[in-house]
This record gives sequence, C-alpha cells and structure tokens, in this order.
Amino acid sequence: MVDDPSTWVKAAQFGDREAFDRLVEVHGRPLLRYLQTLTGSAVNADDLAQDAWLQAYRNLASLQDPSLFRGWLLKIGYHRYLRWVRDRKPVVELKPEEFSGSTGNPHTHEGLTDAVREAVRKLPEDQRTVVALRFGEGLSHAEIAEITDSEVATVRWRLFTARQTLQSILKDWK
Amino acid sequence: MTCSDVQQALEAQSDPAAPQIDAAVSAHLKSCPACAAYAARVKRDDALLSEILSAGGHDVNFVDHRRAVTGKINAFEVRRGWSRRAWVATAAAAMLALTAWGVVNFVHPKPSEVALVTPGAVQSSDASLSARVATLQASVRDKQVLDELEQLQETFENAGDGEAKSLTEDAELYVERILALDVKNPEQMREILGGIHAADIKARLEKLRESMSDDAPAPLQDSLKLATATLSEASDLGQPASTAGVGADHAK
Repeated sequence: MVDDPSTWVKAAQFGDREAFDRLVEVHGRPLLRYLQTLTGSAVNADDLAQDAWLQAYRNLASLQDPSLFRGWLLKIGYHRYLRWVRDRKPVVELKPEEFSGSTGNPHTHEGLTDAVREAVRKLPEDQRTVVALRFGEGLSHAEIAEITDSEVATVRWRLFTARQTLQSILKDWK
Repeated sequence: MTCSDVQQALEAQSDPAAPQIDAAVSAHLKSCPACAAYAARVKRDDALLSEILSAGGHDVNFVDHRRAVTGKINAFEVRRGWSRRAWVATAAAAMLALTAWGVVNFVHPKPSEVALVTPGAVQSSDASLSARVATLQASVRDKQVLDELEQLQETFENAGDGEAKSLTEDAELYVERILALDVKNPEQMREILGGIHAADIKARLEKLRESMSDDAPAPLQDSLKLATATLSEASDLGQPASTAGVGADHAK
C-alpha cells in the first residue's frame, strides 16, 4: 500500500484493521503527547488516548475528507479531555504572578523544560489547549480554531495571553 | 502603525500558516527598538516552546498502549457482532413490512396520490430527506451522542442492569448507522431509517426513561433524553409516510 496517510484512512474506513493499526502507529504518539500536555499526566493521557482511538474507530466512516484525519483525531481527543475535566474536581489555576515559583532551575535546560511543562500545565484550560496544539503539534491558528470550535481571533488572543503568562518563566532563559 | 498594532500583527504572524511579515510591520520594527525586542522575544519563545512541547509523548510505553487500543477495539467488535445479528433480523423484518406496505399501496393506490405524485415531487422529497438526515448527523456529532451512550452503558453495567445496557448497546448501533448514512443515497437512507422505525427503539428508550426514578443522576437522565431524541427523529424519518410517501406534502 502507498504510504500516504489518506490512503490508510480510506482503507481503515472500509474495515481494514491493518490500516487502522498503521494510523495508531503514526498518530499515537502525537495524541499521547497532546493529552499529556493537557492533563499533565502520562497515565491519564494513556487512558484518554485509548478512549479517543476507540471513538475514532467507531466513527471513522463519518470522516468525509481523509486528509483531515489528524485534526479530526485531535478534536476527538480534545472532547474526550473536556469530558474528563467535567467529571473531575477542578484544578487550581495559578495567577500569572504565582508562576515564578514553579519547580526546577530555569537556568539549566532540563530545569527550564520542567518549569515550562509545569507552567503550561497550570495555564487556564482554554490557553493550555491552544498552546499544546500550536507548539506541541505545530498546528495553524485556523486548525486550532476548528478543533476547539472557536474563532481564529479567539485562538490568537488565548495564545497572546498564554505567552504573557509564560513570560515569567521564559524571560530567565538566555 | 502603533506599537500595539504591531504586537497584534506579530501574534497573527506567529501562525505557521501566515504569510511573510508585511512591509508596514517590517518598517515599524526597523524604527522601534521596543517592538523589535518584542518581536525577537516572540520568535525565541515560540522556538523554545515548540522544542519543549513537541518532544513529549514518550512517558507512556507505546507498545503497551497500542496493545490496549487493539484490545478495546476487539472487545467493541465482539459486542458489535452480537448487535449486528440482531440488526440483520430487524432489518429483514422492516424490509418485509415495507414491501408489504408498497404492495398494498401499489395495488390499491389512493386516487389523490396518483394525481399528485410527480417526478419533481419525488426529487423534492429526496432532497428534504437528505437535508434532514444531514442535520441529524451533524447533531449526533456535535452532541457526541455516541459518547453519551457509552457512558450510559458503563453506568448500567456498573449497576448490573443487563437489560438497560443491552438496550443502550442497540441504540448505539442504530446511532452508528445514522452516522454512516449516505445522504446522496435515498434508497439506503429509507432502508436504514425504516429499520430503525420498525425496531421500535424509540418506544423502548422512552419506556426505560419512564422506568427511571426521578432522583436518578441528572447527567444520566440527560444522556438518555438525548439518545431518545436522536432516535425519535430517525424513527420519524423512517416512518413509511415520511420515507416512502414520496412528497405528498410537497405536492399539496
């Protein structure tokens, strides 16, 4: 089979399990990474990603344009994450002035990585989502707007606000 | 162009799909050290965030993860296999009923129908059915009806209510059928929707709703209400008068 993502999607839509497995292999890690950024937990990301894949499998026939599979899968993951958020106790989100107290020494690369991940995890949910999609998955503002059911201007505003919030961490990095 | 305008433009241009920086912004950056510093910071921060956040996803054992996904899908296929056999029996009964209805109406057509039904009316009826099915499919996706049904199944399974769980599994299968409908294929839509109507799933779900106590959790009641509304709409579309009535309404 030609190694074109759309070809695998089309084959999977016709019930080809091998093609679906291939989709899991190709898109599995990005989905886990995205959900881990959102939930801040590898275990939760694992659970949510499994659910998202099952839902993708069940609804694959409804995807009209196979080339949009990646965004479609991330949208399923996003909705699964929202349900998870709805079903659990709210996390305490830090105010921008509280971010400088994050863990790790930002003067080392490892410390900075930990500090940035921690800071992103503590962003408000709407900002965390756009940051994960923009910087983790490299999506355009329009693609993020489609996944989060919002306007492009809203996506830009959330990114702008998140950027200001993360400044307190990033400014120390030379 | 003000500094504020430039900073907003820079945010828009941090979009990977955005065109190159425009001339007005570029000119401002050359003459404004504050905005130039801001632009450099945005670029540096973006690169750093991309480097850090795109490197994740390795904390989960991917082999185990894939195995778990495969296991979930296999379990789903086993469940669907059982439901599909029930579906085939229902669809066969629906086809028989529709065929009998067609024969009766063909042999004894009502005079008003003979006069009113024209090819144009048939096309109009097809278009109307397609539009309603497309709306229903969009609603199923937007409201995540399949998710809600899955939640119901889990709840009923945990409660040990096998009958209710089985009913919601049937409902899930019918909703999947709705999603798979081809709006360009009126024959297929009529066949599938007719099957949903004949299966009487609407009445069975309503009966389940009535049997639930008033103090059942609100999310549970909401999920069941949503599933019932979805399948009621499909069932209504599957009524012979609606699917096979070839646009009598339009011809009036």
